[in-house]
Amino acid sequence: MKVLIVEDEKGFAKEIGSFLEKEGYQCEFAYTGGEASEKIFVNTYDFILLDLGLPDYDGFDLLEEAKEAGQSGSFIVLTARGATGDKIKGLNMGADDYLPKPFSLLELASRMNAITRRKHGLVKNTIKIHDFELDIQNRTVHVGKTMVPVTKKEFDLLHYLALHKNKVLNRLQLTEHIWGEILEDDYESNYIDVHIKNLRKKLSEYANCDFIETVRGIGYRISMPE
Amino acid sequence: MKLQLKFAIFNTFSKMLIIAALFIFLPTIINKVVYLHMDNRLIGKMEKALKIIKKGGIKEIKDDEDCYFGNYNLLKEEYILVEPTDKQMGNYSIDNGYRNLEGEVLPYRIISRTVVYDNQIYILEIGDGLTAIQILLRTLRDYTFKLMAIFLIFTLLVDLFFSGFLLAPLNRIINKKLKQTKHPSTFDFSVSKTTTKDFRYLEENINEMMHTIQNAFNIEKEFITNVSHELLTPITILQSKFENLLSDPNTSEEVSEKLLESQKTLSRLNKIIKTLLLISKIENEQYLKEDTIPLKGLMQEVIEEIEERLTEKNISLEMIWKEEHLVTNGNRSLLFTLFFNLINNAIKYNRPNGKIIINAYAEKDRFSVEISDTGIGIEKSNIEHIFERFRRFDKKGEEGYGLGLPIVKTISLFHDIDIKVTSEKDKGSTFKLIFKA
Repeated sequence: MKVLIVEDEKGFAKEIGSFLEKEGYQCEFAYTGGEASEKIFVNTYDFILLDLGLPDYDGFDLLEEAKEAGQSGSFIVLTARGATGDKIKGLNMGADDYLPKPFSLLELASRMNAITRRKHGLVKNTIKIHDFELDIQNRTVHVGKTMVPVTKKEFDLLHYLALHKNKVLNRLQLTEHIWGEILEDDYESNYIDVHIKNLRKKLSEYANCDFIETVRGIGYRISMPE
Repeated sequence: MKLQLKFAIFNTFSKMLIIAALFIFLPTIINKVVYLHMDNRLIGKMEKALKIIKKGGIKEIKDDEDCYFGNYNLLKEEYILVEPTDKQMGNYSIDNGYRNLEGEVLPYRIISRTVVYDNQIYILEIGDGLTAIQILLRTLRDYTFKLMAIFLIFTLLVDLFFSGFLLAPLNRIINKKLKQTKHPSTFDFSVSKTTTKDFRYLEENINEMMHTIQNAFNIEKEFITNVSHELLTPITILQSKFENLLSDPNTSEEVSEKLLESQKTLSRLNKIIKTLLLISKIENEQYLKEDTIPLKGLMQEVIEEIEERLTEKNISLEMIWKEEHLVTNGNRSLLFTLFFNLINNAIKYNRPNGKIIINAYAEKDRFSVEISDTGIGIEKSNIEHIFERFRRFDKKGEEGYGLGLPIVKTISLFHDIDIKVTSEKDKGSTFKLIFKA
């Protein structure tokens, strides 16, 4: 899948690029609004990651221009401007998602996957992790017909780990996903560990949950055959 | 009280005062004038009588030998009287008195003096009837009173209308510039039509001040946007570099751990900047207040979000909240943050197996939400400082950077919510939020 990264900070653009390439995307770069405008006009992309704060262009103008030119790719707006109305404006103008900087690259990949699944009608209602089955719509976990009582946060954690199976997710990535929207005063919190501990306790009452692995000092991983 | 009303009240009082004064003093003045006039006439008549006596003797008036003589016209409005007496009087005297003329007692203004004639002292008296004058005075008083009342009402109406007309531009200025204006971006700089110099001066100056405020606001807004961009961009770059390095299979476990530590530090920096930006943005009024929020529902959402932390410390939570309370014109996500921070603090500074009580109740025109914990409490001398930025009192627990309560304070101010804090060291704290209706 082709991605156009419109970002004037070259260092950042490269980091996104190298991450997405590992995830199997083909990346192109545009460091100015003019460059981006040209590329969007000539090529078609699956994704356009659009930084709003370009030196020569208002990101919203670029978005409007691209939509008018019939660009079919999905837009994800990236911004560090932090203006409160930007998110609503971006989504109203036809962007598919919005990520305020700084964000975790893992979160970006998750959002892109979600858009792809939505576009191609591949939205799965259930995910199977060994003996457990996750009901995405209702946020419930089942073993056969029995429901495992997990909290919302525990479900979100399990779901996120399952989406990135066989990958180590560190505590910060998990924290950002679970608590990202909330600005709180803590920084040394060990809530992720607490959640995992509780989750293991609950799951192990129903079936073996050794697939949740602790990677010492880093984070957690769900190992599953591909 | 409005200026126009004050003017009207002042006018009424001052006019009533004048009318009352007139009402009290007018009869006396009229009396004085009338009597002065009468007295002059009486003196004239007396002189005429004296002249007649001088010329033709007392017989001219008193034609026979009777010692008593009285004469009056038919309607008894005037009379003249000569009577022998043995007391000599100096000059004449004028006074009011009653005289019985043919069985009818009537009031008169009387001038009297003594005259010596043929070695006999006579008293000469001329009287002028007062009945007509008294009727006249009464009529005069009635008319003045009625006239004054009409005058009072009429001038009041004119005053009210005219002051309303005069003050109309002031009312327009107050409404347009002060009452209806909420946010610097919606300032109205239009100029009202007025020929009154003071109002024009006032409006020009208000406009000027509003321009200054608007400029400061815009500059601050731009500054926030720039700071936001300039500070968050490098963090973004670093964070993505760390993330890429961490996911690189060539990175050793040892390096990974160090990277994660660095990432944590970066995340801390990120949170501090975001929190400061949040506070600035609220103070810069960049948040809308357009939501209607059921407070109880919001609190339940916060508790649900945070319940694992309660279980972890084995803290019990009791909520006494009978009726739902709707907050109109609020910002839902900010109020969520407000509740979240307070409940989170109540957990964080609580003792294991402690308790949190949320007590919400309506009082007259207010709604109060009290959040009490059984935690470490706050030293009395520290209570007034807890809302200051980067203040931390509990040096042992190193969680947090002292911005939780400043956020609470800013959000409360933005929503016009009062916060009252009571606390006892080692017993616990209570944060009371007072929502005005």
